[in-house]
Order: sequence, then structure tokens, then C-alpha cells
Amino acid sequence: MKRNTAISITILLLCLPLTVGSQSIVNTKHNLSVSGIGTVKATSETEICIFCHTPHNSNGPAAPLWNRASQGIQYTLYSSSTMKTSTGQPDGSSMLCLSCHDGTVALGNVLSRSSPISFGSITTMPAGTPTNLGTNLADDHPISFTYNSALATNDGQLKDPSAIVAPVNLDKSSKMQCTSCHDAHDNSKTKFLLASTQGSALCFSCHNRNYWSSSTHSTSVKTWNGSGSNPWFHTPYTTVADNACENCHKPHTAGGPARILNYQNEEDNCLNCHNGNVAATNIQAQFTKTYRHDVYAYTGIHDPAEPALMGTKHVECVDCHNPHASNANTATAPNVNGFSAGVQGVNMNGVAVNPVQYQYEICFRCHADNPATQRYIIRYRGTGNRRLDFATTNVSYHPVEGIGQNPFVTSLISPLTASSKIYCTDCHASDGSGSPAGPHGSNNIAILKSAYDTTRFPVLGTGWTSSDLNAHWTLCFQCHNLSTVTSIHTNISSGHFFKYVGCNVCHDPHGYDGTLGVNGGSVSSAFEKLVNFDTSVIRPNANNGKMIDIPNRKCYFVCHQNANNTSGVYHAHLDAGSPF
Amino acid sequence: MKYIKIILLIVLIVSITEKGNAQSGITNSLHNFSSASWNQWGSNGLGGTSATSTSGRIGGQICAPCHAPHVYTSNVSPGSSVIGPMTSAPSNAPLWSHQLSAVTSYSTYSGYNMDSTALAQAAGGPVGTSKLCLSCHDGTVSMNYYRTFSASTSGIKPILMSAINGGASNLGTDLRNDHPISFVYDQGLSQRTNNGVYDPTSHASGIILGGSATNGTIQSDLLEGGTLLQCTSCHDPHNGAGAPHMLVKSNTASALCLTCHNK
Amino acid sequence: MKFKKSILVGTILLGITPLSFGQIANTAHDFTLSRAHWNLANEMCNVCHAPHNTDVSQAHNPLWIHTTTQANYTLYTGYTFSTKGGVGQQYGTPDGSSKLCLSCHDGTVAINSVNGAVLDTIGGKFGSVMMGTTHLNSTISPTTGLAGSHPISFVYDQNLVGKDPLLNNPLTTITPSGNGVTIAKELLDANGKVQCTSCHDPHLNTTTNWKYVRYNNNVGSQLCLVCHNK
Repeated sequence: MKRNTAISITILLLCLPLTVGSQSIVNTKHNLSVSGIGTVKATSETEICIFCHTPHNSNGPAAPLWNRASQGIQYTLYSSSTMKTSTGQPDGSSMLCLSCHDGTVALGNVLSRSSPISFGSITTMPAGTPTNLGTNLADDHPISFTYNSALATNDGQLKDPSAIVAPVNLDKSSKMQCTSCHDAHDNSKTKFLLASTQGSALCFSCHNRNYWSSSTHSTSVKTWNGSGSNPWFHTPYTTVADNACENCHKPHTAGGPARILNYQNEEDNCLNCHNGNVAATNIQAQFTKTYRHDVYAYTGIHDPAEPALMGTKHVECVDCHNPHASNANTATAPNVNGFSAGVQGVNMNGVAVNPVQYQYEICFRCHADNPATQRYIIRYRGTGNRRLDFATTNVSYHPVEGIGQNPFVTSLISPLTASSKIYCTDCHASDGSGSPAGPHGSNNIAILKSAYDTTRFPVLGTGWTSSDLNAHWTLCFQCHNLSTVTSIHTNISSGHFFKYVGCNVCHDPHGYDGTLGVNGGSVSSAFEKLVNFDTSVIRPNANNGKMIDIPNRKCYFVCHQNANNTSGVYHAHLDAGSPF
Repeated sequence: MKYIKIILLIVLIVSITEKGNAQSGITNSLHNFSSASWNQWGSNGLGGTSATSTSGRIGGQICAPCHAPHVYTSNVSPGSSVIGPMTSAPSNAPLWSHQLSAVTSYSTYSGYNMDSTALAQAAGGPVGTSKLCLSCHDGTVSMNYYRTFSASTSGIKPILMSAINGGASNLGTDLRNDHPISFVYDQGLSQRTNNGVYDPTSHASGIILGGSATNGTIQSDLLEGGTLLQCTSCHDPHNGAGAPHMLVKSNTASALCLTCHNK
Repeated sequence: MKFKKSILVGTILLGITPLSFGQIANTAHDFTLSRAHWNLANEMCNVCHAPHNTDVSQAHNPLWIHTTTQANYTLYTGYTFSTKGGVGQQYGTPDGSSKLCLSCHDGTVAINSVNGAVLDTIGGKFGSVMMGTTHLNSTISPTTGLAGSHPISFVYDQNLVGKDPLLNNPLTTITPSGNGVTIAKELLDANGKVQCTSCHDPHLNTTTNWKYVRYNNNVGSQLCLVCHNK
């Protein structure tokens, strides 16, 4: 008796329709028949293929026995400044997909039935469905463009079409279409994709980003700590490396249409991870500080195709960082380190370079020939064009572009020597110990990593203690030994210098070329040792026009007095030059 | 337990005795020409003189418009004399009596992603039994040109497929929007498509003939000569399965499509 | 008892002989003088049958006297018949009653040829009367022979049904004649073979049974459908 039952059950099971594993359309959301697994499905129609196919009297000779009518809709197309081709209106197989996925055609409208197949209350793809692309395709990966060798060569970061590995494919006219990435019948890799998106393998079937394999974004196994918003809201992956391209990019209905980024605001694509919730360091917090490279203040101005020399003023993460290239390689000044690898810049000669070799070349995009910022302190020499300020032909400069002029800088704290070179970011960086590297934001003026007091009014009659000096000009004393500096200045000025004025009044922290900002002496020797006075404090002697003679140790200048000697403090003894 | 067995038995019986389907058979199909107005072959032979009448003709022979027990090739000419599957032997035809279409070149399915070898074969145009179906269904031959009736028969009023049911079954001569036919569907095709279509030599057809499952494969049950995909691979002009559109098996849940297509 | 027995015999006789007395009159098989000018005997049956001296070479011959044909034919190969269904069904050159029909209808033997002699001619006035295409045109095709005709002379049994499930079982399927008999009993010959006589009864009244086709000239194709499960 049991055996008969077993046989009956076996035979009964054999009568059930065959399912052919996860590769069959039957077990996917594209099974729109009543047996489908999704929520969008017909109320009673049992045929599965009919929603797209019909064996006779199908639509048009070029389609695969298509059972849906052509709509003739005009779509808004994808465009970007970095796309080396243009797309036309969708054609080919993409039109087939769009006949449901643009949300304009009722799903049950098929040619082989005189009345639409009923889906209950649903007609078109419900609005808000993630796969309802709408008619605005500007925020979706471009389709229906010819992808040939010329395009690959022209773009420079696309594989030659012959190198595209099946099943990722181009259509018969060598065009990219929806079917290049999707197979509408096979959901075994989810989202009906032809290749896995783990590590963005699918994307790399065609895209060949420079530097990617060595970048941290391709190798990091960092995960999200659960705070804040989920940076990986459209993928099932949980590490940076697995998400790869989709850390920042979203192939459909992207928040930032150009280059299909997750978010419209450029910085959001970065800071959703670089806020300590994924990446260890919290860069986002730096942008709340008083002085910052304010990436939040600009939207839609930055363009990856922009020239190295900045035009319209703006700043975004990607002006200094290449997310496809960034890595943790260290370097020594002035060579750019891995964080800013692969970005463009302006070299010391004012010529655009890509990628930069030296860190300062990045800064010179905005702080050189077309400076984006005003100087806090106007001095006698230099224009604030930092490329020219740091030129090694200048009489004095901090050694950013090259080794400094002075071979005897005795105050330098080891391991620095007179032949050392430094980064811009040795001074310009976030304040606070343990803060992340880089000039993102600081509570100190000019995004300086430590205190640098630009106050111009010392209190005469009181001396500054060492700790006062250290507290107000901490920045300088990170490299220059305070007691050495103090004794130098005490020696040369009987204690006058440095007791009543700070570093900033007399010394230029950058460098200066021969260009004279304000009338103030032509003796080059007056400008050695980064002595370049704050013009609002120090004035040339009204009687002889002299400022200072460093080798001969004579001071002629006047403090706080206007050019007509009618106000301020006048030191008559300076006419003959006070020795120091 | 007992009840379970009974229920299972009932299900078993119902599932395998498809012949119990009262809707099967040519008499329960649109190919039941017994009352077709154009079916001259009535119970009294030539059907009298009412060749021009459109009144229903009770007792018309169902089989006559397509078959005749004695066939001379002159009955089925003009048009191509090739009837048999790729071997051009008229004697292979199932006693065909309907005049064949004179169309020599049909536009065929242009392929989309179809295997190039099969596509080239299909481009050669319909052959074999598909030409028999097309002798009515391409809309160029009058329905009542069969046996001894032709354009030269006086009093015959021609009627084309385009006039039947609003031309719903008229494929026309442009077959580009129809499923391709007359190509070889073999193991090689399955391999070239990476099993996009199943191996016909091993994949079950699921066909039930005359009340019992055949245990047959696609090749044994559906292909003409065991090789060709034809109209008869999907359609049974005699409605043996009693399925809509006279399919060889029900297409509920697209089961027929999925018999060959691995989707 | 006796009375009952004769009724029984009579009934049996009636049952096994075709109920067609007088039907053949005025048909093409009516060979009386008014129709067959060469049949001076003016008999209906004598062209095919005779009470004595018939052709014994014909198995189960119905007192056959007409000269038997010696022709060979191109047989029906059909769609799958010759390679599948017909194999093992003793399918070959026509035999049995089909040979008798072909003895006129293949156009090789004169209609008025009986037992090798020409029937009843006056000094050879009529000579051999052949079936031709002028006023008698029911010949098998001279070009394709039997290739274009329904196959005959094969055994139609359960074995065949096993090979082609679209054939009805001849042992159980009742014919539409209204006699309540099976295909095997009414339509197949004694060897269980399909012959010309499976579809044609040469004695029928052709006014209602055109071309001697059974069952009211196959109205609604019921003759086809009794064997073919379509």
C-alpha cells in the first residue's frame, strides 16, 4: 500500500511543470503570468512568454517576435562632458525593454490580444518602482550608442570591443544596449544581469579605469558600521572592494545624472563613507570647521573635463582626489602621495600636468595663476601667486618647489635640514591631534594645522613668554626650534624682535618673487630669510624710503605709520638706521 | 491514507488521459470544415451546383479540403511540386489534396539573435509540411481549390484565408514577424546556442498522443523527419491535444514555448 | 426448432452478406447491355463473378472470374508509413480483394477480359475494352501509380495501433454503419488487412454513395474518422 502511494506521488510530481533552476524566467519577476513570483503579475493569464513574444504577426521584422507595439516616445538622453560619443534615441533591443520599463505602456498591452491582459489594479509599471526608468534617461547608463574601437581609443579608459567577454555583449550593430548587461530571462545573477556586480566585474567588462587595480577602493575590505545612512543602498555587498564602482556610481536612476553618481551633490558621494562610518577617518567633520575647502558650497560647477587651471571658482573632493586611483602609498615631499594620486595639476612652470608628480601641483590649480582666495596678509613682495612665490629663483621661500636658498637654517628641528623639502600640507591641514591628513578644514585661519596668529598689534611694554609664542605660532615651532629662534632674534635685536611682534609681521610663510606688491625698497638683501613685512604694520622710512638692511643689520622702517608720517608710532632714531 | 490514494489516482488518471478532453479532435476545431460554406465536397460529391452559395453545407467532408485517398499531382499543382521534407518526393506527402501556393519566395524571420546556420536554412523558405499549411495560410490560394477544384472550375467562387475570421489566421507571405520554420533543429544547434534551445535528442517533448504519454523527445515527437522544425512542431492541424490554437500541447504557462526554449 | 434455426442461418447470411441487393443497378458497375455495350450476355454480375470455373488462385475469392492483373505498382510511401507504421504489417504489392479491383482499375487488363478470354464479343467486334480516360476515368495514376493513393494491403491490427496511437483499435471501434460491428469485422479482409474494399463497396448505389464510398459517401468524413483518430 505504501509503495503504491509512493508511486502515485512520484507520478503526480512528474506531472508538475518542469522548472529548470534559477536560470529560468519562470522563477523570476519577469514571469508576469499568474504563476509569477513578483507582486506585479497578471490576475489569471497563465502563458508566460506572451507578455513579450508571439509566434505569429509579431511587431516588426527586426525584433524577436515581439508582442508589444512601438510607442514612438522621445526620451531625455544621457549626456556628459566626459562621454566621447553621443547617444541617439534608444533603439534596438533597448526599445523592447523600455516598452515596459519606461512606465508609459500598460504591462498587459500585447499585440496578440485584442484587450489588455489584466493585472488587477496595476496598468503600467507602478511609479516609484526602482526599475521604472521613466522617460528621463539622463540619469541612466547611456545606451544605444556605437561602441567601436575608435570610441575605445578616443576615450582611453574603455576596452576595445573585441576584448569584451561574453556574455556581456554588443548588439549586431556594435551598439551598447540594455541587453549588453541584462538578460531578461535569466535572473541567476540577480537583476537579470549577465555578469556579477561583485567587485563591479560587470562594469569592468567594458570600463578600463586607469589606476583602479592599485586603488584602495578596489581592495579595501572596510565595512559600514551601521551609523548614518547606508552608503551601499543599491547593492547587496558589504565591503568597499565588493561594491567597487557602485560605491559611488548607480547605473540606473542615479542621483547625480552626469556620470551616474549616487548623489547629485558631488561631495555626498565621498563623504557618505569618509565620515568615519566606513573609512576610518572622518573627513566630513573637517568641513564643519571654520576654515575649509568648502565642498558643500558648490554644486554643478565642477566638471572632470575642466582645465587644470581653475576657471569658475569651486572646490570638490575630486578636484584633489581621484577616487579611481587613491591609495595609501606614502611619499616624501614634494612627491604626491597615494591619497591624491591620479589627479591633474599645474606644475611650477604653469603648465598643466596629468597626473601630478608633486603635491603642490594640485594646489597650483587654484592658488597660483588664478588664485581662488585672497591673501590674509599683504606683504611687500609677492602677489599671492604661490607658484611664483615658491619659485626657486626667488631670494627666499619655504622649500616647497625646491630646496631653500639658505643653507644655514639652524633652527630646524630634526630630521629637517636645510636641504629638506616640504609639502603645502605640512602647514595647511586639519587641526587637532589625530585629525586626518589633508587641508580639508581647520579651526585655524587659512586651514592651518596649528595656531598662526595674524594679529598685528603687540602690546608694547610687555614681553611675550616662550609659551605665549608657542601658543600663538605653534605652526612655526613645529619645524623651527622655539628656543633657537628666540635666541636668534634676541641676539640680533636686543630682544626687540619677537618680544613684541610675532612671526607673521616680519616673515612671509610662503616665499615671494621679485614682484613688488607695494612700494618698499629694491634691495634684494632686504628680503632674505623670508623677511617680507606685513604692509599694514611696517612702512618704509618716510625720509629715506628704506626698510631694512639685513646683512648690515640696520632697520629703517616705521611701524604702524602711514606714508605721510602723520599717525602711528614714529621712531626717529630709525633715520640713521637702528642696529639690530 | 486511503483518501489520499484515491485523490492521487484521480489526478493521475485525469492527467494522463488527455484523450478524455472533449475538446480534442479535428471535429472540435476550426479545421472542422464540415459546415464551411466553401467546402464544395458535400455528401453528394461535387455539392451540386451551389458553388457560389455561401450557405452552410451540412455534412461536408472534413478531410477533403486537405486530403484525398487518391491523389494525382495534377490536383495540387501549380505551385512548387516539392512537398516532401527536403527530398522533393511528392509521394511523401500525406495524400495532400489542397492546391499548393505558387509563392516561391517568402520573407523569412530575420533572426535577431538566431543561430546563423539555422537562420540561413530558414532563409531558404518553407519546405516540407510547412508548405502544406501555407497552401491555405499564406492567403494566396483559395480555400476551395482542392481535389479537382481549381481556378478553372466553373462556378467556383474563390475565397482566401484573409476572408476567414477577419484574416486572423492569415500569415501572408511576409513571415518575418513569425516564428522561423524549416530549419534543422539538432544537437548542434543546441550546442551552438549554449543550450539556449534544449538538445532535441534528449529533452522530453511532453506530448500526449491518443491518450498516453509518448515518453518522446523533441526530436521524436516534434520535428519533421526528426530534423526539421516546422509548423507541425507546434501545431497539430487535427487538434489531437485539444489545446487552443490547435497546438500540439497546451501552452498554459507557456509550456510549449519552454519545451524547446531554455528560458 | 428447425424454424428457428433457418431464421438464425438466414440472419447470419444476411449479416455477412452486404445488404445491397439491387443497389448496383444503374451504377458504373452495372454491366448490363444498356451500359456496357460489349456485354452481350446482358448480365450485371458476369464480368466479375461466375458460379462455376472461377479463378482459384485468388484466396478467399468471391467466385471471381475476371482476369487478374499482373502489373507492378509504385506503392504509397507516405509521410512516415513506409518507414515506420507500415513496417512489419505485411505491406507490399496489393493482394486480396485489392488485386481484384486493380484488375480493371490499373488500366492494364481489359474490362471484358474473363479468365484470360475476352467476354462475349461478336467476332471480335469490340475487342478488348480497356479502362481509359475518355468515358471511363477511374484509373490509378499512370504517372505515380499507387504512390498518391491511400495505402492498401497492410495488416491493420493492434500492433499498428501501438506504433501509431492516432489510429483507432480495429477490434473495438464500432463503425458508423449502424450494424454495431467493429472495423475489423466490417472493413478489413479476412487477413485483417486494409484493402480497396475497406473504403469502397463495389456494389453500392452510387447515387447516394458516390464512387462506391461507404457510409453515405463519407459524409462528415466519418469513413476517414472511423479509423483515423483525428
